[in-house]
Amino acid sequence: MAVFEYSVVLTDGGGSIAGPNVNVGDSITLTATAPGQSGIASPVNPVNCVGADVTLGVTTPNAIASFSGSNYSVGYIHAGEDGTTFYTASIEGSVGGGDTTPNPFDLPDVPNAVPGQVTYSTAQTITGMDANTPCSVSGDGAPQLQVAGGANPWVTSSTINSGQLINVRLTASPLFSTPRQATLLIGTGSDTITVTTAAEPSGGTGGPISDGTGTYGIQIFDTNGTTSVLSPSTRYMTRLTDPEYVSVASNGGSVLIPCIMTGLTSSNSTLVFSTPASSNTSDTIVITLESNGFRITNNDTQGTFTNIAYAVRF
Amino acid sequence: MAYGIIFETANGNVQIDSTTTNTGLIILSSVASSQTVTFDQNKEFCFARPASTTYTGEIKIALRSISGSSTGTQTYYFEEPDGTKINTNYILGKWANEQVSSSGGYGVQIFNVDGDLAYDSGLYTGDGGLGIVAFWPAGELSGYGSIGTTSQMTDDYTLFANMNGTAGEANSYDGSYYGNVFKKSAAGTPESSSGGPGIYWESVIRFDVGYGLSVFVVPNFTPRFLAEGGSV
Repeated sequence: MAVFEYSVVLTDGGGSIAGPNVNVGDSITLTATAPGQSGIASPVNPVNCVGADVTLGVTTPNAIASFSGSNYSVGYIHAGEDGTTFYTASIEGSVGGGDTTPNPFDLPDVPNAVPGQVTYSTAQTITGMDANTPCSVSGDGAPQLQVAGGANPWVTSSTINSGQLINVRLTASPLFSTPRQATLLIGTGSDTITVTTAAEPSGGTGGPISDGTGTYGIQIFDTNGTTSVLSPSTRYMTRLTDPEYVSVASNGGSVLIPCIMTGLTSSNSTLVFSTPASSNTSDTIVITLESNGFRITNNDTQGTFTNIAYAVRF
Repeated sequence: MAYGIIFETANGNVQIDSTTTNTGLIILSSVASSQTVTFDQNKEFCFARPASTTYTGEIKIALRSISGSSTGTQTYYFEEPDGTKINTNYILGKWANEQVSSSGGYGVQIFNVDGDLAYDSGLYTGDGGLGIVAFWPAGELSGYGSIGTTSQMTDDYTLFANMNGTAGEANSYDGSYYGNVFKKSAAGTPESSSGGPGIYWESVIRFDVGYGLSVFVVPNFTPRFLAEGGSV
């Protein structure tokens, strides 16, 4: 909702100047002065404004609350000291007739969205209107809009003024490689946002590991004498190295975690980090099995990788 | 091998080798139903699955720290991304060289090349054993959870999944989430690309860019293990 500031000069015989075009809910702060006069001026046209007496020269708001027609006129009148001369002035404009056509706007489409996730476009500043302008969004994925960012609510319709930010969000399709669209309407302008989910990635390696069964070898039982805690078919897990704090420089820095090697392969041993990475990923932190241990290489360009690491065999 | 002892599985995988620095995972406890667990990720391994056998749809489980030292023993909730606490059936194992050797008059104790305890049958106290049944190296699971099949670790949703390296936040729908997804059936789940019953890995990073959240799915950063418990 817009707030307009205007001032008028009260004169003998009065006059009117053009005021802003307004919408319901806007308000005008009208200042009145009268050269050579002092005292209190009274509002004119209380039908169209919720006015208040104004001390000449002092700002007093006149909130425009409701209108019955398509035009408004708001002003002040002040009786001169002689009691017969009246000093008046007003501003006039149209109601609901402001320019609600924004300049062309384009909220970016979103590619590679995560399926099923609430996905946001990038907020844009809307300009070009001179009135509070209705806006709404509709389409797939329960789209919502937010005006002016921050903690303002996400809704399906609202109003926006020139210079304010607007953004749209919707829930991406739960399917890979599938678009969803929402149309944002601002006044007489519109834009369609397309959120397309990412393509299904290829699967990796890994999976079940074999253990084998045998009627020979060693078997160890729990305290009840019947539950086996180790047998020839148990893929037992052991730790090969004690936990070690590692600090690996970026841009290709590396650290070796040495191991006594006896038949280690990438399918029966690995390096474990104690804490999940928050800013590094498996794309940038690479673990390789070498002839004398596990090497951690940090291909990230952003900073040193730190964690606690140890090797296990299974 | 000039000295010591080696245990191997029937197909030749080493279980215990006293000539290396290895130390075995001894099961400390097996809990039927709990929403919390206290352990040290440097010294212990935790495997969990939903305690419920009657749930429908899917249950996501990650650890969220609620107290303790970030580099030592901590107490965690088992949580869904929205903060719902999950009752789990979990198994906790501790590396033998982090424990005091047993003093019973029977069983087997093995010491490794460092002189540390590699195996001690006397440390078992009735909680059964644990065997690894599946392994996924770092970066091999897409992180999409049960959307599609590229993060599916198994179709057996009754197995135990490794909880080390999982992490949730107070409300992970607005933050990051690294956790296991147990999917019992398609019933009750939202429409998705596919992904049948089984256990999946989900790793989603979200951060606020000022006018909304950016969401990224990343492959598993830490290796993932599945296990069976009890008599192994």
